[in-house]
Amino acid sequence: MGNNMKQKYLYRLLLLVGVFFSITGCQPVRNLYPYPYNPGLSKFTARGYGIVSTYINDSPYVNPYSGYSFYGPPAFGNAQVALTINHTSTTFDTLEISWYVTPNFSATSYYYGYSYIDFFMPVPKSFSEDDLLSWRLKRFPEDDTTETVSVGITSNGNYNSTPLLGPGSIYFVRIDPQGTAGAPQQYIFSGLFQGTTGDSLHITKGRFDFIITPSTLNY
Amino acid sequence: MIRSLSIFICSTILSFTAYAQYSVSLSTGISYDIKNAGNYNFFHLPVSLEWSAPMANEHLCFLFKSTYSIAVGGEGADEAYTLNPALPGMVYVQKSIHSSLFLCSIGLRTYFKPNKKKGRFFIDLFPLGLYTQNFLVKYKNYDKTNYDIINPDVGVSYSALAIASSVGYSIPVKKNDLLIEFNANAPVSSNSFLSSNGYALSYNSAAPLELTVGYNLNYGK
Repeated sequence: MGNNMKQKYLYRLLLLVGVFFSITGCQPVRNLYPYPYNPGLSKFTARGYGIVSTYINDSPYVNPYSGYSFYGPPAFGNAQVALTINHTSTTFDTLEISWYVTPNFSATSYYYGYSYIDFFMPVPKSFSEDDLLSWRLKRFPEDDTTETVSVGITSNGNYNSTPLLGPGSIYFVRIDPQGTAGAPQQYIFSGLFQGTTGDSLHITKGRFDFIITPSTLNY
Repeated sequence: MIRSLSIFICSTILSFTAYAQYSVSLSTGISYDIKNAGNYNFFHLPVSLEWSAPMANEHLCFLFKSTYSIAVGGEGADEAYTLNPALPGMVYVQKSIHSSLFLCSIGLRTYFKPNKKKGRFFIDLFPLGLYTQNFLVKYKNYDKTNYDIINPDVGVSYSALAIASSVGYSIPVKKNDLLIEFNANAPVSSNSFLSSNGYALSYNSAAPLELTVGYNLNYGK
């Protein structure tokens, strides 16, 4: 083999190694840390790990993950939480907190049947960022109010279908500033949830840990 | 790396002069981990075995030291939360963190104001050591059904290169010596102390300060 041929193969090898390290080096962190007391679930954390995990009828579910940007949609890394205020014509608006979840054994793929878990919380029309931040260490529904929290599950990734609804409860354990103050300020958003939908789907031991930007909500 | 280290140690030992007086010492005492002092009080009971041999002259010795430190204490508490409205929303769960430390190191000892009959000060420097630290975490009386611990700790096993130093005083007792030493040692490159899968912990690698008393047995010429 001539020197030119050797150089050619060497360059190709270096290129392949470079591409490999570029892809693996950019891979985001999964941050799913198994919890031995609840097999299949991640630990309950408040570090902005971007993880939600729960049992649905005793089977573990977590949010899915995409390791590469071209592998999407819908997100790069862990599927994130979505917070939306649904403005209504009634006395209250609804704050919707939504996660994608998928069975834990297929958590590395987006192409497996997943579900949405949605929490619907009635909030006053005047609901603001300060109100949301004041929910730190609050459990909903609160004992002394008449408000109800609904939880819904939409199965098989069909987000347009009507979710099965039922009573739920959610505990905002941490809504804490993340890192140095910036514009807009981000917060660690961490807590617990549970509920029952459609009389047959039981959500238990739910825990979430995300970073959110409350100022960007559609108040 | 290990092969080079072995060759260095063997060649150093073989280079000692034939007329040297060797010594071996056993010491124990108490140590306190200063690196975790803000969060935890980690005390240890160190047991050290040390071998020394004079080098160029009798005031400079080569040292090989191994120390095993047994954990004494190490308590803490983490917050746990529940959705059950019939229970308090938050409770503290007690945890114990027991760390066992093992350090092997080589270095040099220099004696000051050398008067073997009256006693003398010395300084030890250990530029090269290998530290193994094992941390074991246990939660006590944890209601796993109703509560979830936030950011729960896990145990970890950790090995790293280490540096150490000591100052001490040697008091002659017949042909042997009583050693009183104040030691400091720490692993290097431990800034990001994480569990094996990258999970952050509430405690750091240990860097103990030790106060030990030992008996030094001289042998040879």
